[in-house]
Amino acid sequence: MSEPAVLGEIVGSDSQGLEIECHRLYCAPAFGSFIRADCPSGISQFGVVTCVRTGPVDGNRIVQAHRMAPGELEQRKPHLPSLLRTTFTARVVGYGNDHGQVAATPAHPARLHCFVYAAATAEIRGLTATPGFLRPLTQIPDAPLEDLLVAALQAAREAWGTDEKLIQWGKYLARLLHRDYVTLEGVFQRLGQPVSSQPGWEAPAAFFGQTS
Amino acid sequence: MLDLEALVSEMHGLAEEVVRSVEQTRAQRTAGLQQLETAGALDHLRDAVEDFKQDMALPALGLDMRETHPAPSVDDYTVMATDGSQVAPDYHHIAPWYVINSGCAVFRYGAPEGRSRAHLASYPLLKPPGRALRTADETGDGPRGTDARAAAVGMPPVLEVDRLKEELNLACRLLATEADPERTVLLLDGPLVQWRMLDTLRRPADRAEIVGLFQRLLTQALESRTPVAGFISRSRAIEWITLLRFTLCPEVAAGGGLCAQCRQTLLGRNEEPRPGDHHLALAGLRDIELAGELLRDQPGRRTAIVELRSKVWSELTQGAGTAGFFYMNTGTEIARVELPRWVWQDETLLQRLHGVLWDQCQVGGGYPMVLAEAHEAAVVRGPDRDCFYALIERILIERGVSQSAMSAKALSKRRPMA
Repeated sequence: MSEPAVLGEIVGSDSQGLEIECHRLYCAPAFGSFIRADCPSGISQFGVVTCVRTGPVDGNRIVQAHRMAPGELEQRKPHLPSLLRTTFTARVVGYGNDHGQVAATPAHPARLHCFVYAAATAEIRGLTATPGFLRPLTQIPDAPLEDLLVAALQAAREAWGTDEKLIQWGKYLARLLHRDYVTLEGVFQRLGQPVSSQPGWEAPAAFFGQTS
Repeated sequence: MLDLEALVSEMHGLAEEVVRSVEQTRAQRTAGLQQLETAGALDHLRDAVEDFKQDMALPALGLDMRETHPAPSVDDYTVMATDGSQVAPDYHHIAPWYVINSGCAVFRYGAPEGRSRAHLASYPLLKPPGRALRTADETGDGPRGTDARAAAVGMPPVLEVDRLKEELNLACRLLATEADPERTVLLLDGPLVQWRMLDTLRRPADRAEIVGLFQRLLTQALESRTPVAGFISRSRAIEWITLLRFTLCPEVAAGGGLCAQCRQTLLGRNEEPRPGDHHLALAGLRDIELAGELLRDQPGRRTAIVELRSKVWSELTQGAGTAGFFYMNTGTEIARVELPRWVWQDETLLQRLHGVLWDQCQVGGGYPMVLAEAHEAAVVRGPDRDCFYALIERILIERGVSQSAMSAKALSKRRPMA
């Protein structure tokens, strides 16, 4: 079995959230997907991607339009990849190891510079076996809640390969969002549509010699 | 805080002066262009300047000063630049250590196999304060001593010297490790050689070291056939105008040498000629103003090369060469480019330099991108400086040095009270 690809490493962490810098520009995991941070303690932390952004490494830099045709920019400014970085934030939804996962807040924040990977299917199943992973996702101030819940639930549903968990997650969500009926209704409607009818994620653009 | 209201009326007064100066300059520019025509037709001008035996500009051998040249197209190339910055010693802090931070940028267009397309790096060097303090005191090179800019920002000249040494060392390393044969250009931020600093350095050891580094850099560049040039934005130089003022002397115009009166006054302060001086008409005009007129609306174009005779350069090359300069329309301003003679005497090298400069200016919005990035690599901004001092504090406090070692002034600045 090949080694899982490193998505990036932690550059900021607290008990609730992780900030991760991607090792490759524009190669962040999808919004709403599950990630795993491998910590030296042996206890991994799991999170759901809540925001992806790309910007200058140096806060003094101003990104501006260069008005160059596609392809020309990469040729004319070969140093651009070293000035930019892609980061993403993830809401911690649980922790665990090879023996199992729980949807709860870990005792200690993840250490900085730990590597981050896409969570494996079995790990997502372990985390979402109970609906507790949904509660932290409803507590993120600036995230588009409906989109986040739909994306995370789709990812969980794909990991299970069936809809058997949807009723359990839905009932729990109905209690969590009892004051936000509009969002709840939106989530249910969108989860009711077949996945194939929804637009897929855009593949990361090839950039500066990257091929995937 | 700055009370801007208190400055507004003075600003209006100064603005009037600026307007008057612009109108005067406009007339002088036209006069300058006419004089350039006259000077270009004087076959004996170079000999006349050489007879004057002073450090000044003179027509480059075989080149017509009146000509201008469009930027050539450029093939794949490598361009490199260095710059430097510093954290000056602050004697109000817990330990007045200082830092020299040299930075570089290397870009390769159509990179040779195995070579990276871009390389940005900075090399910080931590220095104890002893040398900066001691030598400044011992030699009298306080901030009033050698360098006006250093004085203006309260930077000890020794720090400037250290910074220049590191920049030159880095440029030498770049030439050795990053230059690609027959396609590379090395750019320095500012003059090709720090003429003024070399003229005013008091410590013989510093001077010898700087001269040695410049010699090493120029030798390496020559041996590797890498054009090296100093790029000066918004230059205030007047050498070219001084040469034209030289030709305003009636004896020079008549085919002879400089008259006795002009010999006395020509190299005095440019802005303050005496009434009746032959060269009065162009006094106060700057080279870039003449070049701006000559290269108006012609982005990428450059003036002819003008040679610059100086004792410092003669010392650097042990009499074997001279330096020169041209002006170039970068698209947003007129820049001065200083280069050694062996570059302009080799048409391939000169074309490469000009083409690369123009390409870099285009991609850099009127300023060579490689120089801008070398600056970014080197620059130490306020937050970096704060972190630097915070780190010193932490390290010393860990070793039992009390925070009270900071001056009361520094502490009060850190925590201003209301």
